[in-house]
Amino acid sequence: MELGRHLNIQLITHAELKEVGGRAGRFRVKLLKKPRYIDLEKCTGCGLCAESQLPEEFKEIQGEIWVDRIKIDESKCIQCGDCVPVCLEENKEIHGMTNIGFERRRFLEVPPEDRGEIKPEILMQEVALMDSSARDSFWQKELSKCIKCYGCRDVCPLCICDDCELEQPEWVRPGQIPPDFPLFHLIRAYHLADSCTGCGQCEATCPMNIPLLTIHNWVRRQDPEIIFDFVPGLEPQVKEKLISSLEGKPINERGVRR
Amino acid sequence: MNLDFVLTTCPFCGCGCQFYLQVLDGEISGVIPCKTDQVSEGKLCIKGRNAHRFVQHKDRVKKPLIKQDGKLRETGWQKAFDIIARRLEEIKRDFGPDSIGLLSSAKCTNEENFLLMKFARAAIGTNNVDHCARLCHASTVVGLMTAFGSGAMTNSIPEVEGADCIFVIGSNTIEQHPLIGSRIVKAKDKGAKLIVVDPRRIPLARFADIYLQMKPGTDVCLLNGLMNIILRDGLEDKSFIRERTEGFEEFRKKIELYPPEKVQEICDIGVEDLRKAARIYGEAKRAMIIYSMGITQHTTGTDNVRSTANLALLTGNVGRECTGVNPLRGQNNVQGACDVGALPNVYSGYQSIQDKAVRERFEQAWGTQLPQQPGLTVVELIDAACKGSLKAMYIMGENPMVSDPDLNHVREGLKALDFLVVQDIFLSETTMLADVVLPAASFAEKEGTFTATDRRVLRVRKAIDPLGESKPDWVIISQLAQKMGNSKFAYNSAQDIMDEIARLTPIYGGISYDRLDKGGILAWPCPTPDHPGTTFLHDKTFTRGKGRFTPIDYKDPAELPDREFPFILTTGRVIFQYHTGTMTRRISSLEREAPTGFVELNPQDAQKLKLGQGDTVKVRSRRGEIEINAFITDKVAPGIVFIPFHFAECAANQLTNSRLDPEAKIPELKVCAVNISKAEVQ
Repeated sequence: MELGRHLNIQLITHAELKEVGGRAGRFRVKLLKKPRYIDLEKCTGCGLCAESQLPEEFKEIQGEIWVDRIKIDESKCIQCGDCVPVCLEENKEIHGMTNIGFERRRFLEVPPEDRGEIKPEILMQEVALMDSSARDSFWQKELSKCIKCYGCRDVCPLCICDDCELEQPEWVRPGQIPPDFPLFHLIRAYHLADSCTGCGQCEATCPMNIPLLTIHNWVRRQDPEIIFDFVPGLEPQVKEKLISSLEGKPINERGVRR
Repeated sequence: MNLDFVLTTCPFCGCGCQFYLQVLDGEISGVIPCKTDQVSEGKLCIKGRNAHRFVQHKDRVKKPLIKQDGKLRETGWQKAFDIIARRLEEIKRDFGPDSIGLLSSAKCTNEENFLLMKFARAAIGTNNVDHCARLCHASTVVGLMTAFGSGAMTNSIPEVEGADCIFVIGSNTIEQHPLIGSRIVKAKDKGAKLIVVDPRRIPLARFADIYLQMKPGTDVCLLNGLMNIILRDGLEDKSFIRERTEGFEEFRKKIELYPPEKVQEICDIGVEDLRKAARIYGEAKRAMIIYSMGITQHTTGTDNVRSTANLALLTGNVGRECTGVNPLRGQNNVQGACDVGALPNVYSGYQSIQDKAVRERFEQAWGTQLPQQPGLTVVELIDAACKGSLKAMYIMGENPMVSDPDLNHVREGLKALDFLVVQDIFLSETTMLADVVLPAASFAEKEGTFTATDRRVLRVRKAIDPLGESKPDWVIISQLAQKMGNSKFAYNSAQDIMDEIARLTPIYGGISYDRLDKGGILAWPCPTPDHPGTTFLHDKTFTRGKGRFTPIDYKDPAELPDREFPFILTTGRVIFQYHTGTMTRRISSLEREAPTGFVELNPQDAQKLKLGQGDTVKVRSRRGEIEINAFITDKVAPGIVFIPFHFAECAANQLTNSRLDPEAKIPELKVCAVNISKAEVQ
């Protein structure tokens, strides 16, 4: 936020760096701006687009969060396209929906058999749209690339334990690559559920290019109930579903520091 | 508080990843990946990330040691140099210069290897200088030299990503060259086809479009079989064969003798799988062959290498971007150690010692007569020591007592020597037999260059002062040579040595510290100071003119299983350790992952032998026996067992066969016959 107020700094979000030239003091960069659902400069923040599909009980929460301007979370968008007409209705002169919003709308107007494929823009969204078995095989494949360099842990600014659970043979068999699915990575995700800042260093340093940030984003953005099939406050045996050691011992028998 | 970041090159495998050493008040506190490095791109494997941890280890040798009453005792440099100079001169006088052998090191810099090679030839007067390349890629140097005219990786590491078919044979790339393995997986995700051929179901196999679990040692037959199918289906590149190769007709006749049905019988691979693999490789526009020890460490190593070259020539997949025949060199600087001539038959830049013009140029530069007869290779040196014709050895940064085949034989040889000098950073199984041990400085304590597997010359920079009284290897050799009265060994810095290399070596002619320090990515050949380096070789014309097809017959490995020794043993490495473990076994985070050796056994064999997971077994070959824990896994096929060779307490090389490839003199470390039985419980 402080950064955003600096006169010489312009925040460009949702864009990709294509090319860097020049040298220190006089860099030239080429950016590819990705399409947004909403033009942030034009949106009035009326919130109607969001309400169009949300169930009644969420509306109040959303209204609270989106006091200023609307940004649609691509990972959660189900691409129904209902936001477009309500935006046009409310903001007749200047409307906040961008072309991509309109495209989504048009996409839905053609009969299903004629629709082409709209590729999700980010991996997070792609994963969100998978059914559970596809998601399982996606993560199986990605995580089986792991060579256990521990780079994700080593670079993480929030991984600060003195002795790491990933090094305990009860959880992760030593000497095996790839590590058994999916404990190695889920332990990290679970440990960082409340502290990951989304800096992306883990993904940047992963020699096998595993989309680690997507795991952490997933955890950060979802309810524990959805990810871990876990409802806080339920009786102890429910906890066993959360995570168990390699021998199948439940978490409370082994004891874990978090 | 003084904090410094020093950009240097990883001391483990041949990928040549650069990283920063973080130095806090003279202590190396960490490794920071370098995001602008072309190969690593800010990523590293577990060894690279822990590369700083052995440098200031308490076990480092900090003073020269001499053997007195059977024990190594600390002494000063002067005394150590006196003894070495006197003994070497005595032996040279009494038995001739060829009674002395030197082992150079693929762990040391180009400058140090060049200097040791010069020390052997100019100061001692023998060509008996070799190094561990003999145990890994000697057959590559010989094989690709005859086929293409240059015995190195034809293309560069980043090009892997752009290939549309990658054929990996005998290389456990993800574990042994992780940053290249990562690129193969990336290429695969982008849509490339991946063929993996290996007797073990290695981690890369799970990403393969087609995985062929071949019988160890049958590579020639398999490759001939693939080429047979390619020819029968008409997938060869006719214009490439016509314009850029020679020897095709004779080669074709040989290939006709290997129909898929015969290959199926010998290699134990289904005909359909063979057809599929041949089609994928044959139809690809940019197909890349990647191989490693699985091809080279055989008595037929040179034949195997030539077969891969034949395959690339047949389909025109060489001399273009993202194609080629790419041997992955194991050690950080094994490419460089070969390049600068630490081999018994060539000077730096693969210039033959028997070429009169070349020899005269070196004689003039070094101001002395140079020997003309090629010297002995690693395994031959040990044999000569056993026979008594070799009296002294000078070993720089190698541990033959774990790395060489048939260790009992090696021990016998080294013990028979009159005089043994070992120069190392730690005490090892080899230093235990030495008369004098000289403390060397590690990669973090000296300046120099390493040459990565894809011929890129990379800077190694000094992060801290040498520990205790240790000295960089080049300083030791330079001082010792001067002590022995050679004035041509005075150098002020490693840079001076590189300048001499550039002067005497056409392929390194344009390489200088200046250019490297300015960020130049220079892969040899780089003949002049304004040459940009060569990312891929054999563009338009081969180094030797035309690519040569060699007709090759399949030959069985030297030792096959029989009734007494019913299993085939194949050896290799694991990702968490490096070679003889002198460095990695002192890094706790690596040792925790892989604390000791194991023998991989198929569940069927385990059942027959009534073995359970983790049982201690006795593995026995004609040459020795070890006790080791069983690891039951379907990674290996029935009848095949695998042991990593890092661990001295259960050294795979007690068992291996030291029979050599007739041309390259590489021992057959990948196939020998063993017997397995349950060990008696003590």
